[in-house]
Amino acid sequence: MAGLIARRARRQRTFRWIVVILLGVFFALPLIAMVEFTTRDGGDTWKLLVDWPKLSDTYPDLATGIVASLGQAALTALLMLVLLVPTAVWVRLRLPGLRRLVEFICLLPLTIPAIVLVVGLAPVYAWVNYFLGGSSLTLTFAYTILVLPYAYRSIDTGLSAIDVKTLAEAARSLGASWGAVMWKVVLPNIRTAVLSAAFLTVALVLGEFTIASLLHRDNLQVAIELLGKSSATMSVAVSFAALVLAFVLLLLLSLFGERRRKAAR
Amino acid sequence: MTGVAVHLNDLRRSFGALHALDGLDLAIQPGELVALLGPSGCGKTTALRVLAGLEDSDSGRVLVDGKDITGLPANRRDMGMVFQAYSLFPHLTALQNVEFGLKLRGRKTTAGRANEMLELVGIGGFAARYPQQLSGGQQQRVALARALAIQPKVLLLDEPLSALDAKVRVQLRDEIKRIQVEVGTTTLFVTHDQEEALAVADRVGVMRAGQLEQLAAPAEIYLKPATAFVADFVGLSNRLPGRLTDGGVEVFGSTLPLVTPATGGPGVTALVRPESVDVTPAADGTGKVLTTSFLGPTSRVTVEVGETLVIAQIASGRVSELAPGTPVRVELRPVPVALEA
Repeated sequence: MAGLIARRARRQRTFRWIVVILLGVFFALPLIAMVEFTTRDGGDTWKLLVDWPKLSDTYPDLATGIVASLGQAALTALLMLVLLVPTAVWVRLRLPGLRRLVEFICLLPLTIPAIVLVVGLAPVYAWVNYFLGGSSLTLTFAYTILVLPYAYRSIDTGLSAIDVKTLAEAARSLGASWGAVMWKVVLPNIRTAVLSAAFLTVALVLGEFTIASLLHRDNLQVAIELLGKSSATMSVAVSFAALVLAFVLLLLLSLFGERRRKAAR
Repeated sequence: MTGVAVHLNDLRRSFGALHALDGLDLAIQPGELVALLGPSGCGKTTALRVLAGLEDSDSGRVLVDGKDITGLPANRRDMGMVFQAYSLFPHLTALQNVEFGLKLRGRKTTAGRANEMLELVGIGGFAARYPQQLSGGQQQRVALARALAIQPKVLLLDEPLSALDAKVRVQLRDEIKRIQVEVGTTTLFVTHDQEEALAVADRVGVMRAGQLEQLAAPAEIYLKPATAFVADFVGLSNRLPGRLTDGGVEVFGSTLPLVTPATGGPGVTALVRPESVDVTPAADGTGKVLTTSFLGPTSRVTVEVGETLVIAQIASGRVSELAPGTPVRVELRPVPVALEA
């Protein structure tokens, strides 16, 4: 009996390793190919990529795209948090009956293809252009809608892990204003969820192409696409760098979450 | 610190068709500990939450120390509250939790007062621990320290012991009483546990359907229930058939005085406490012992008299002579009883 169990465990272990290796190869091969392709020139592309002044001079559109994407990512994360955290908390505290509806609304962008979203956004952006001008940073509004499903899920999970109602009422009874409740009680207890929502937002915004391209705005992906027509090596190198950045963000998120879980134990 | 008077005047609060508070009037004397007791849904927690400002009333007034605070938000009411659910802030240590309210009040040195409060509730050695490192009883002690640290006008306890195991519950119940007497804060304690309410309160308010049925000292609530509901809800009562007489109600041949004068037909049901019932072995007795239950110093004996079941509470030392099947004589002590409505 013991031998049978040991054999089964060995088989399962072997199967797990085969799956891990196959998936690893599937993911790693394109990345290895990207590295190989971008280092054929002896590393000149990478030297240029990390030399910001030189890069700006050589590829001004790329520099503009990077700056625009970073600005969009930061503003989108900020706007998403400012809108979503108080809304999610308020719904839990005062309007629990609306929770399903809010969840449904927040998940809607997931079901609508980006191209369809743009068709709807185009007339809205005519007004945005009129009032705020054609800055690439105005994409923040569209991106805030785009990241809602991921950010909402993350924040809602964080709020589910604590008894928001009791904590808020305890803080209120001790003299806390609603602002203090949010800042001193709710936010510190959903820090991981907020970070998770922010990291996912950054990763999503850095990889967004359709909306920016169709609304004629600058961002990293639009710049990479343009660059691909003139310098394939640099285009692939920047894509690789963006991918690595997204991986690092998600890894940081995972490590931070693990540290919090250990601290809680 | 001396307590303040609290008045709830004609409070009404409905949730759809349910009237959680239906014209509740309650007056609490300065420094008094009043326990609100009642079945689930009777409105006791709603009353406490309206007093705390966590719930709005549809009508009525809340007065604390003579001031109308009906429209005042919860954070400006100056009340300390301990909740049924563990409500410590998970990201703060026990000490930081106690300091929380003090810091909101702009106090520069808070650690001294917070430590003092933790000592008062008996967990001075746990100041650096996080809530998840404390037991349920310890967490509720910290919550009590946190509520008291701000020197509230009124202390509100919303079933603070219900999540704890029996032994800790009794310990903490006694601690709450001791601390309340020591600090003298006017306190409203909500519970569905009658033993808890009777043990801890100066006065107990029994609620039913959003109204106060009786507000009196624990002994009076138990011994002289104002209504059949109070008699039935607080403690155990036998429902015994009786007949109204000039002097009270006659049950099993004994005439018992009534808590409140009654009128109506001669046939009534009297609510008689088990400890008012005595059973003695007697070959010619009209009753027969069915079961006995050991409760420690006392035991409960169930006797069948005709078609009526009677429960008696007697000293455990006498149980040996009352084996199931023993014929017994049932006698009732002449203490005032209520009649079932």
